[in-house]
Amino acid sequence: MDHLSDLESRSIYIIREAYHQFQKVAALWSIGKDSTTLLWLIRKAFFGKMPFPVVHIDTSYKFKEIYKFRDEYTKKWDLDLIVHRNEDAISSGMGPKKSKLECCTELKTNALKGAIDKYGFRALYLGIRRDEHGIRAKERVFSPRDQDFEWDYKNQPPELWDQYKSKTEAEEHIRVHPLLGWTELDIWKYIKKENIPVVGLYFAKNGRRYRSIGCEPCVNTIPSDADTVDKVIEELKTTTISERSGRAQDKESDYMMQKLRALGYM
Amino acid sequence: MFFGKKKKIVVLGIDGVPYSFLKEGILNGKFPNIEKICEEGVGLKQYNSVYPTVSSVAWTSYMTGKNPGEHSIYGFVDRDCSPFRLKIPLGSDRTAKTLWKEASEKGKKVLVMNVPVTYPPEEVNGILISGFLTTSVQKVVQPATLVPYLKKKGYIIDADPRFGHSDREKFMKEIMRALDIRMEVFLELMNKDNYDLAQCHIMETDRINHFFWEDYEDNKEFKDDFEEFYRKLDKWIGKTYSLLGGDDRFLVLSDHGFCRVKYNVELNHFLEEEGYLIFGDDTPKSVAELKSESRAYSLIPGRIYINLLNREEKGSVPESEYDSLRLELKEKVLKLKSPEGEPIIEKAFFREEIYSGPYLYQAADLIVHPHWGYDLKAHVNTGKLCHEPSAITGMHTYEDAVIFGKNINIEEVHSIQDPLRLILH
Repeated sequence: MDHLSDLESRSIYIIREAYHQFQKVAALWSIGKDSTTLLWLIRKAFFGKMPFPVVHIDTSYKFKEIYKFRDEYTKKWDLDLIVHRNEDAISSGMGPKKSKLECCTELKTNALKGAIDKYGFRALYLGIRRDEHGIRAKERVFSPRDQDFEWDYKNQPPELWDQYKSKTEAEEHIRVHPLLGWTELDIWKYIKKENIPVVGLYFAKNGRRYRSIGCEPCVNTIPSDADTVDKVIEELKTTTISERSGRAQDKESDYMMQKLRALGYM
Repeated sequence: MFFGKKKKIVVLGIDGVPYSFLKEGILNGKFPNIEKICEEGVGLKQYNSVYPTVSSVAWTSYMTGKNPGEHSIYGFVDRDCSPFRLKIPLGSDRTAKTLWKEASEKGKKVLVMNVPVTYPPEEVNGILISGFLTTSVQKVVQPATLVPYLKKKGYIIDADPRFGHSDREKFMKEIMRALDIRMEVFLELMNKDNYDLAQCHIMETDRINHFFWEDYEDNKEFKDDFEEFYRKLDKWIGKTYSLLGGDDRFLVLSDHGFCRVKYNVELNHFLEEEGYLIFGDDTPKSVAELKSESRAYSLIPGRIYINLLNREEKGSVPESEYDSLRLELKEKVLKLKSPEGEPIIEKAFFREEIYSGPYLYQAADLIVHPHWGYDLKAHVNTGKLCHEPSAITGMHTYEDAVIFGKNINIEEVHSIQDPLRLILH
């Protein structure tokens, strides 16, 4: 079996088994290339249907292209879409200008907590990949979170999930990461192979493109002439720049910088 | 041969404690435990730090036994050239093996706590609790099964320095609590198992020196707390020492000294004034906004980079002018004067003069080192070169780091890269 088919079948296995185990599940969709690929795989796993809801945590700061893409494919793919926002924080003026760290905490983390509380999901599918970010290197395919959303290493189960005594604590949920073993390049090759639609922001215009998309104020373009999927694949084969380098600040880095400033070290 | 037949070694890092401060305290009877160790052990020795004199560079040199040209950590902040981006190097960016990894690979059992720039915690044969710049207790330790224990202890990774500006009393309490909890945890863990190498890093000494050095020198508001803190330190060092067997090896060391800040010196202001650093019409917030006509910029502390064509995102200085521009900048910085007419800069090095190795290319092109009292900064749009210090009244010194211990030959330590050899061989 070729590499992509192998990745695909492993992911589909994880997707099906987790659904069987947890039932009350949802997929998080940021409308980026990874979570869109995740939806594609889920639909494949269930023969073209999404058997559970798709959640978009809307910070209100996303690109207009993202909203448009979301609405278009929600219809085309007949998704049961839940859009959830932390309305209290948004109406009180929370935004990246105030503090990027607080903004992410309120509009992403706390909004997601709100959605889980409201809908009672026991497991969430996420499109994260191990090669994305240093911290994610330690992630597992099944990753339990406690009510504080913290990663409870102590109860981290073995990856053999049928040994997984299932049974989550009442206030806990499980994160399922079917794409964990994929690389950025795998994702793009698979997008090409399957002809998966992605937001146009990924393709170069006037010598620049977004390699990673999210909230408009907090991501930047990279210099690139890759205006097709093929050219993106070629570019990734040679680049040495990290995928998230176009992001204004990763949250951890923002927190570290605040400390370094307070110490006069930056 | 690794460890040979030697007994285990316990190391305490006391970040930024000056030799002269400890020596004076011993002479005045303030540190009875340290005094006892020096008498029973190998005395008290002064040695020099690293360039630039910051803990991330110094402790990475300690843990790898290598210079920044090999381990590639050049400061708490670094930059990607193209696209230009300021970034914070983590332990995972280090390009040389740590002494605890090496010990682990040889089957030795290690306990390592709180050393700067060890996040994310690497897997060792034993326990590694990462230090400064780790963002949460949840992610601080390998194996992660120790998280609940640390949480239960109320473990503090680092007293939050933001309180040093907003609530000094709270900050002082937090520093004391962080020290006590850290040492309690270290000794509890150390006693639970038989470690070949057990190392604990105390960061609080650096924090108290930064924010309370003036209180100490000028007998101000927090002088008593400052002294109480150092009595606690002496007590914890003594307690650790009392738990060792007679043949066990013990090493206590700092990574730099400390002195009073006279002025914060803004090197980017100098570069702007001299026409080397050029911004557009908008008020700049960061060096990232420099225009391509710029010829040089600086990062903290004293790291000057040439805006080199084909290297920097907006580079414009051709390679043919690199050497002459560095020389010109070197000559000019050496002439910088304080408002009182004192020279600010003691030395300036071309990178190849002080570093060597495969990662030399990541280093600043010119490394500028100040006289005592002139803390080199690199903010933009600061209006003048020299600024009176605010809440931070203490700064690092290259000279005056300290080392002492027992059953270990500190005479062989001339730089912070040297202890690794003593520990491993």
